[in-house]
Amino acid sequence: MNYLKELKTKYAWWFFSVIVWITCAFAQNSIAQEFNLGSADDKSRSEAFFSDSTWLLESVQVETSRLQHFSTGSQVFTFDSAQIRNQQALSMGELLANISPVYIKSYGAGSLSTSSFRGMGASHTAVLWNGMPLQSTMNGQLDFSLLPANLVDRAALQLGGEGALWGSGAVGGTLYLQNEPQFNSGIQANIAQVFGSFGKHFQSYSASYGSKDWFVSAKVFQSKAENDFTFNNRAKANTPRESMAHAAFRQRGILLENYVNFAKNQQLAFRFWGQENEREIPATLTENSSRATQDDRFARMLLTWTGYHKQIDWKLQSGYTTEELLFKDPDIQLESLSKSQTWINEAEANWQVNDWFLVQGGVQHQFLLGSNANYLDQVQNQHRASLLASVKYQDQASKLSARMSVRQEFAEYENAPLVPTLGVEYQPLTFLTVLAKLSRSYRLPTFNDLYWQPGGNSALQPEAGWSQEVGIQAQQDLAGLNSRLKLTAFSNKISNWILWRPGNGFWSPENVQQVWARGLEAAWELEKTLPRGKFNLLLRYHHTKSTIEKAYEANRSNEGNQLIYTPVHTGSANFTFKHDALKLTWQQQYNGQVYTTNSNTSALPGFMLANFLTSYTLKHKLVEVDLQAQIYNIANKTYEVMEWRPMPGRNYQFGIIIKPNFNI
Amino acid sequence: MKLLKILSYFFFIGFLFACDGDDPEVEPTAPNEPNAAQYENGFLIANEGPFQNGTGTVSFFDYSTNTVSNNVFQIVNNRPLGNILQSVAVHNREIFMVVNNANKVEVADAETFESIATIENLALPRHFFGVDEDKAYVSLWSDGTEGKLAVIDLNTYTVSSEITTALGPGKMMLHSNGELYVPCSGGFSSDDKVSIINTATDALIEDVLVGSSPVGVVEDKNQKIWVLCAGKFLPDFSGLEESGSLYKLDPTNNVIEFIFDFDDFQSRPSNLVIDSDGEHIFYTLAGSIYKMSVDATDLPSSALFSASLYGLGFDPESGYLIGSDAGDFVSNGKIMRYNPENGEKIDEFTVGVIPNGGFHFKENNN
Repeated sequence: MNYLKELKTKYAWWFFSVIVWITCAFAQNSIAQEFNLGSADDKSRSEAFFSDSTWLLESVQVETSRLQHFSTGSQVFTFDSAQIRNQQALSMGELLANISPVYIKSYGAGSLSTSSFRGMGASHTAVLWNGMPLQSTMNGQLDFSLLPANLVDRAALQLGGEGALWGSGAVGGTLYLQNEPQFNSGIQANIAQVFGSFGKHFQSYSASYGSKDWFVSAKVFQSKAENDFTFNNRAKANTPRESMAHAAFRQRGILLENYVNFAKNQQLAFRFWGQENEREIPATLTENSSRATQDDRFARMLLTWTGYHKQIDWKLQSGYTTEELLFKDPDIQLESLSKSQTWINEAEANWQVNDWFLVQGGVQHQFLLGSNANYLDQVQNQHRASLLASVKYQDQASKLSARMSVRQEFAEYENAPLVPTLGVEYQPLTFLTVLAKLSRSYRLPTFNDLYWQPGGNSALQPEAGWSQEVGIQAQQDLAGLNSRLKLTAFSNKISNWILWRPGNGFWSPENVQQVWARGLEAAWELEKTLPRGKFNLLLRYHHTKSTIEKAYEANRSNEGNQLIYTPVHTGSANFTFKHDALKLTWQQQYNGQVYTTNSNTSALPGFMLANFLTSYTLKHKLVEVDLQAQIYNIANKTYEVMEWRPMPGRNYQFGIIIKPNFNI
Repeated sequence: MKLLKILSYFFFIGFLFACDGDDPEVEPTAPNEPNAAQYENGFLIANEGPFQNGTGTVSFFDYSTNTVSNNVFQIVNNRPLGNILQSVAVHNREIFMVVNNANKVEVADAETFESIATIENLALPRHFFGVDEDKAYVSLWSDGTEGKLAVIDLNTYTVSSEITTALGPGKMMLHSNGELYVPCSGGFSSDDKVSIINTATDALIEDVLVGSSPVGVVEDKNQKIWVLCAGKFLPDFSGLEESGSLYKLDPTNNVIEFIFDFDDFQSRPSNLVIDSDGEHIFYTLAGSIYKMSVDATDLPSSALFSASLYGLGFDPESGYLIGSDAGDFVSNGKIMRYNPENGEKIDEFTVGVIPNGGFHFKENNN
């Protein structure tokens, strides 16, 4: 079969890549001894970028260099393992909903959850795992419920379009997930157990060893829940109290990491992430019952070689993903199996020309394979290649920095447009920074858009558009009280928006819509370090108008209307207090009303949620024990994020993390 | 006017007849015209509602005011109808709303629209047909491996038995000879039969083989049966393997009298309706609406008018064609009224999301 042939081709490529990699590695190894370390330089650059976090990099670490060096002019929001650790039983979708300014469209706990960055759609978020894009080849989205928060060490959100840096899909924003080595950490182990309401049980076991030049780590986890929470069924007369049915899920996964500094300034990293997920798909309140299930399985492998030589650092990366999605609905005798494979090879290099200029060049190739019984010829594949170049200027006093990036992606059917980004940051006063960015972004049609039968449309153009943003960041330190204010205004106009709509007896995607998202974002953070701890208060408010500028001809009257499931108002308040071993966190989020029809004639009301998290760390010579308790939705608020899909009321999680100390 | 009279028996729209439960020909129980319930003095529009997370809604066109009121069921009963409203019917002064994806039929009073009952455990129901005072049929796509009619006991609003049909049974039509014709389009797959049911015994009489994917059946002034078949897609959906066709059957022995072949391998015809005199049929094809005399020997060569309609109906009360436009399928749609003589648009009204062809008219012409 054709598919087998493709598989063979793919393995041949994989094998070829390994050979090339080994050859390169040996060749480089022989001259590696002559190289300078160069880590200090990198560190300072990374600190400049992640100035509001403790994101320090290891000695040889250029994997996030694009994010570090070339995000000039962008709004970036970072969070690290400490924040993740506090809510480690959550999916990335739940975590982002709690702590980030991103609107998460959740179909319920454990169910599909997608993101909307800056008023854009679910497939307008690029997600990268250590540099490898994770969006589905089939539908262009990533299900955030399949992304366990505790599998990553750090994450960064970049708001706004940025096609030049991240390629297809980085239209509304980018989520960057990072795993990092801990050299010189010796033997470490970690056992975590979390029990929660509605049959939630999360367990994770990890072990690692870190010497000066080697770090190896293994982590396994399982997360499951019955999700049989009770709710008031507003779809029935007298809103009876009912129990959620057919909503259980189970996820199991493994993450293996291996990092070797095989020369003073060269590192090899190999990461493997495998996961299987089973879930029941609950009925909406307007359906009566469901027996549908969905199984997702994937394996992701990433081999990365990074290094430095004088003013040049480089990264060569080869990533392979295989994914399987099996949807079953016995009520209609449906079994739909989708399989996809992605193989991505990329190379990039940074050259610090002098004290002012940093230049980057990169090349990427992707081979995508997708199969589904509904695809034309059952199996389809694509090659995509892109070229990337960036240049950054930074003046001596770091008062002014400016960068320009440009990417050209070559794809089958229709090439992506040339996408440039121009970003500037200027610090006129010591406490004030002004940022501005002009950027173009795009999204290529997905395999479903192109090949699904019936309907697949190979004449689709990529979606594309321009975005602009300006912002200020002010910072003041008053008697140890650090106050930071960020204000941003943005505009993002996307044309050729792909929509599926009914045609001649079946639905078919077309480039029909134009959407203009624009808004204001405000964040104010107060932080004070106390003798035995600290407190931190972070307030956010986002105002996002995302309107249909051009609609399908039969619905011209929708022009000017707000996109569905896109709130105009979102806000949050996060308060953290730390005193010795005790940590208290209060999270409050507000999501405003969303429309559920393009005519803006029906809406879901907005809702305010509050969570309370606490942890206490017991330290002993032999063991460290972290006790955690969390209350979610304290006010027991009844709400829906997606219409007719109820969300749980007040619920609890209790966790314990045990870390034996082997390095006495 | 025999057709009209016969039809009125089964849709209880204001004619006075006696009923005996067994013989559908002579069992009217409908109230007097002056006593027609409030929601019988107009026609009902089924709005499927947004897919996946939505609820269907019912709109009502009021003859006395020429206005449309939307979302009637939810406003009266303070709860949604359910996911994908496929069709609406009125029978025994009760409104039956067939909610496909919720596997139920909601029953409401035709005077007040207040909920009376919910008929549950119906596997993907499509259309409702009231046989007599005590019995009704609901066509079910079931799990796709067989088609069924659920026999409903209207005293208890429960399923009393089932009749197996060909795959994907659709909108049922009772012929003046007392036999029920069920076009079976295949549902999730394909089929090419019209199942004929004896409504007295609930037995399948026979499956008549017609063209691929029969989507509608009507009876003309000569009691002939017309079946519109949509045709069959090529495996890759790039076009049609079998074009659409129109079958004319003689009901006395259910033999095919004539086959009109559309000979179009790109577009599928849909939405078969007939005027109240049984003289002209109407259907949609590739963005146009066609009108054809039941005495014609050829398909019409030109369209009556152009419009991209999701559903089509003929309103016997006003004599207008009613078209529904679902637009982008995520916004409120609209219905338009057209003059069936020249295709001129009379007026249009905003309704709910995805109005389809599952109308109920005061004097239903099937």
